[in-house]
Amino acid sequence: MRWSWLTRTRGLAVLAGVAFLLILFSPQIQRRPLMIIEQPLLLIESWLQRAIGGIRTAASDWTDRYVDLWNLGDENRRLRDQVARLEQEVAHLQEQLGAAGRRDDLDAFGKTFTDLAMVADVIGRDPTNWYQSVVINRGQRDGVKMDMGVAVQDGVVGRVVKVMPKTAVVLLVSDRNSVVPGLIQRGRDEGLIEGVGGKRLRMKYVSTLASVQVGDLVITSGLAGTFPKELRIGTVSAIERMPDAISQELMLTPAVDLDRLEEVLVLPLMDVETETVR
Amino acid sequence: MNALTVIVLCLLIVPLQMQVTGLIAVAGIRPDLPGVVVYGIGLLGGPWTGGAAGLLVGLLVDRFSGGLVGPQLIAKLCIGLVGGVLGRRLLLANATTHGAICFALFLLQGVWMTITIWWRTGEGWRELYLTAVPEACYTAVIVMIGLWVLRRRMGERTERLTLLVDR
Repeated sequence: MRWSWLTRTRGLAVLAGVAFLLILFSPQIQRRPLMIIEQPLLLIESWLQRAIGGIRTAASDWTDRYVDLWNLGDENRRLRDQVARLEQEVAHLQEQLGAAGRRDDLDAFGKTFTDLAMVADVIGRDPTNWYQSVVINRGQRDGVKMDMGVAVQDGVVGRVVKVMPKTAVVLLVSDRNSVVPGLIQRGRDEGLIEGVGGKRLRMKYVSTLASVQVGDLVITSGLAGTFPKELRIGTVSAIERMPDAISQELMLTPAVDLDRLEEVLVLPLMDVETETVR
Repeated sequence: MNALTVIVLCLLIVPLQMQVTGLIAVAGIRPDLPGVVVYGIGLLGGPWTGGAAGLLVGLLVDRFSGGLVGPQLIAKLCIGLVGGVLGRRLLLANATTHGAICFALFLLQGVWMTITIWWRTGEGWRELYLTAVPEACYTAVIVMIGLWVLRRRMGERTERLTLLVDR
C-alpha cells in the first residue's frame, strides 16, 4: 500500500516536472515570459543589483579616500610648495613689470630732452654716513662722464662725480658738496642751490628784491651744462632774510624722494650757449 | 691670519656696507662695518695686517663714496694699526672694553671726517653731533653685541683662538 502511494506520487511529480518543462520551453512561453514569476524576480534582482552596486561604490569610494589619505599629506605639501613658488613668481613678474614700466616712463621722459639720455639702475648707497651719494650700474664703457646730470621724472637727483668702467658714483643734490644753479619759476630769480645734509636744500644768493613765497617751485636754469632747463629741484619751504644783507637764503624741500631711488636717468652734458649735447 | 682670507673679507665688506646696512640704519645712521672688520683684522693679525687691510678697505670706501679719495683711507689705516697694536694684549678683553675702544676710535674718525668736510665746504661742524657721535655709538654697540654673541658661541674655545693667533 505504502509502496504504491510512493510510486504514484513520484510518477505524478515526474509528470508535473515534464509538463512544467514542456510549458517552459514551449515557443509560446519563450515569446511571452511568465510575468508572475519573472517580475518579482527581476524586481528583487534589481534591488540586489542596486544594493550591491551601492555597496561597491561606497567601498570603492572609501578605499579611494583611504588610499588618497595616504597621499594627501605629500600632495598637500607639494601643492603648498607650488602655490608659494607661483606666488613668488607672480610677485617677481609684477616687480619686473613695474620696473619695466618705470624704465619706459623714464626713457620717454629722457627723450623729451635728448636721445642720448640713458636709464641706469641704482645699485648701492654711499658706504659712509658722511656723504650722500648713490652708485649706478652705468660707467665709462656706457659713455658716462664726470659732471653729467642725473634726474628722474620728479626732478633733479644729482651729478656724476666718479666714473669707473662699469659703475659711477652720483653725488646727490642734498650733499653738502653739491651745487646746482637754479631759478624760482614764478619770479625767474636766480640763485645757487646747495645741499645741507639731511633732506633739505638751501638756495643762496637770491636777491632781496625777489618776491618769493613759501611753496614756490625752484627749477634748473640750465646754466652749468649739467642739467637742461626747467627740471624741478624743489619747493620753497622757508625764507631767511637777514637785515642789511644783499641777498636772502631759501630753504627748499627736494622734489625727488632721494631715499627711494631705483632707476635714474643719466643726462648728457649740454652746451650752455647752443643748448645742444656736447 | 691668512692673506687670502683678509683680502676676501676686505673685498666683501664694502659692497655689504653699501647694500645691506641701510636695512639696519637708525635715523639714517649706519654702523661702520668696514671699520669694524679692519679693527678685527688688526686685533687678530697684528699691525701690519691691520694696516694693509685698512688701506685696502679705505681705498674701496673712498672710491665708492661721494667724497674725496683719501680721508677714509687714512682713517681706516689708523683703525687697522691701532687694532693691530692693541691686538694680543686686548684680544680676550671683555665686550665692553672693545666697545669703549671702538667708540673712541670711531669718534676720532668722525672728528677727522668733519675736519675734511669743513676744509672743503667751510661748514659742517654740526656733523660732529649729527653723524660722528651716533655713528661711533652705533658701531660700538654692534661690536659689543657681535663679541658677546661670538664669546657665547665659542665659550672656552677662545683659548684656542689665542694659540691660533700666537702661531
